[in-house]
Amino acid sequence: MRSRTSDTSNSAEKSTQTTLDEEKYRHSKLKFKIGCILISLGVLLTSSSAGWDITNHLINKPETFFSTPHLLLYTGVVVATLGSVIMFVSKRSFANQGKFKLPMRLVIIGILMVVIAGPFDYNWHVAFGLDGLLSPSHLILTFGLFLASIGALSGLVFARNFSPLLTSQKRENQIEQEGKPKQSVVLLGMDNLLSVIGILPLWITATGLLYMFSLPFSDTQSFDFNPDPTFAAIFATIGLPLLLSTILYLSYGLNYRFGILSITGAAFLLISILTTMIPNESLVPTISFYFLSIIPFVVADTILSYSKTKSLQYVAGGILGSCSFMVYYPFITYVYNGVFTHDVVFPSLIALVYSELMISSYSLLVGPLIVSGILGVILGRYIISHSKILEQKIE
Amino acid sequence: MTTSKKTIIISVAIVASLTFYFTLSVFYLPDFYQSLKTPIPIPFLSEVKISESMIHFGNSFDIEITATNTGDTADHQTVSVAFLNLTQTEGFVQITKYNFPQSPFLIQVGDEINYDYASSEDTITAPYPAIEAYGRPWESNVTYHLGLKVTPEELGTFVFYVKSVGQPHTDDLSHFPSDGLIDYQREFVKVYSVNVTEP
Repeated sequence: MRSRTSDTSNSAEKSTQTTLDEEKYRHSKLKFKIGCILISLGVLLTSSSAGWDITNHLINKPETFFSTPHLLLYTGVVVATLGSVIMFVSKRSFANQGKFKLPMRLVIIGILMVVIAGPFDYNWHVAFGLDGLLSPSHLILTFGLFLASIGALSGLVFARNFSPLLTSQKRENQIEQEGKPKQSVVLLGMDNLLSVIGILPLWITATGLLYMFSLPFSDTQSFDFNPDPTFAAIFATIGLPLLLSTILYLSYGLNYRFGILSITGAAFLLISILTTMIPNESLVPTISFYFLSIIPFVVADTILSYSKTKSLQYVAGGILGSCSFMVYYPFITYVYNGVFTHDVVFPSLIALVYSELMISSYSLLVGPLIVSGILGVILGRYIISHSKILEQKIE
Repeated sequence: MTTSKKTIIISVAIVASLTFYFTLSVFYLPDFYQSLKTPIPIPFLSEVKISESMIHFGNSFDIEITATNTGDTADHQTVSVAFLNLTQTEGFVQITKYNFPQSPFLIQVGDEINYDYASSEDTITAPYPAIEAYGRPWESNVTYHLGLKVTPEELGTFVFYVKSVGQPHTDDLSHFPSDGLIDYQREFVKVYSVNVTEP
């Protein structure tokens, strides 16, 4: 009798303990996810503001460090730093386990680089005046943002797929294996949208890195870091469609749901419109046409969702690659102008020069763009399969 | 609906969408973009005031310039004053006032600068120094002022050129003056001079 009472008591204690552990785990996981979301939103704000800053430099040539885009840019840094602190606080009980160290480390290194880049950038302005797109401080800032965005994204994905206590939930949360739909319908909305929030800053910061080595915006009074025009054009022709295709494939592959790729693409177009086109009033008439690039996104999304065969996935990659010339408008005009049209591209003439490039050069570029787009899908598939291996190791 | 029917419908929709998108992007949009109105800035120097027409060597004289853009908003509009008898501006030319949105900058002998109204990315070497004040952008019907104090380097006729150029330069109206002497940048200039005599 005593023994049975003791067993019952132990069982109740264990049950209470498990409930407490689960509660604690849920709480830590929530904090961890909030940290990741704040980092992603902070990096998104920073990288979008950087795009606006480039446009501002093209149109207004500001002579002071203290401009509105810079204010928003550093607000984003503050938000991302706050997110990394929250992520770090939740680390002991949640993020300290297994592969959660990787996102944490990426975020810490990335945010440290970003925080160091701030005063470095200011001092660079003081020492050398107006800086160009590619400068040591900008490179540190952008690469730091890139690392932090990878950390935040992988943190969000791991947090979604990993649950050491709630094993049944874990099984429900696992991302779908190719051709075997397993996904929990309940999780579709919020977690899938969170992956969009995680992917967008990665896309924009990686684009920023590619722009640094392809746009001719780095010739200043003190330094000329402008890339060679031919190198820039080749680099952009390979890099931009590769990135576009990889990122959009990832947005699909992390969710295996129709719509997420299209939402990610639409959000990118919207950010581009807000930061690079609306501030330049001569580009406003071209906005509605620019947004038509949602069409190839929806088409690629449909192909990927409808068929899991490799060849059709490559077709989707090719389509995405071929539209990168339109998606990276208006800045891409400056890249190819250095090789094909050789005009002085004033802000009010961007659409005109772009149209000349479209007529004279798109037919030459479309082949390499398609190939790079296909390579992007191959890279995306590799990343997805590799991340699945990581998840299996966590389990 | 059978799977094959669904596949056919989706395939047709995809082909139609892509045909629409690429036809529009590659064939229609370039024409549309080229039909968009190109701004025509019209620079005008309403006043170039010189304080003295003759000075003693070692003294200075003032130049006051009032410039307006009477056309469409310019992405970039300059007012430049070039000094043919100077080898450098430092110690000889001082900016006394300006209200341009950006700081004027100096062009030194040997600097590589655009020419022929920046019709291409090609550059030319500056044979004499100049001061360039500019607005980027320079809104329509906005007026700016530039004041300089100049101390000639030697005796004789001290010559300086003044001009204003609006960018994008898509029309002959986008430069001032519209005729006269052409400088090394292949651009029209107004010529002014001051006699520098023995003290």
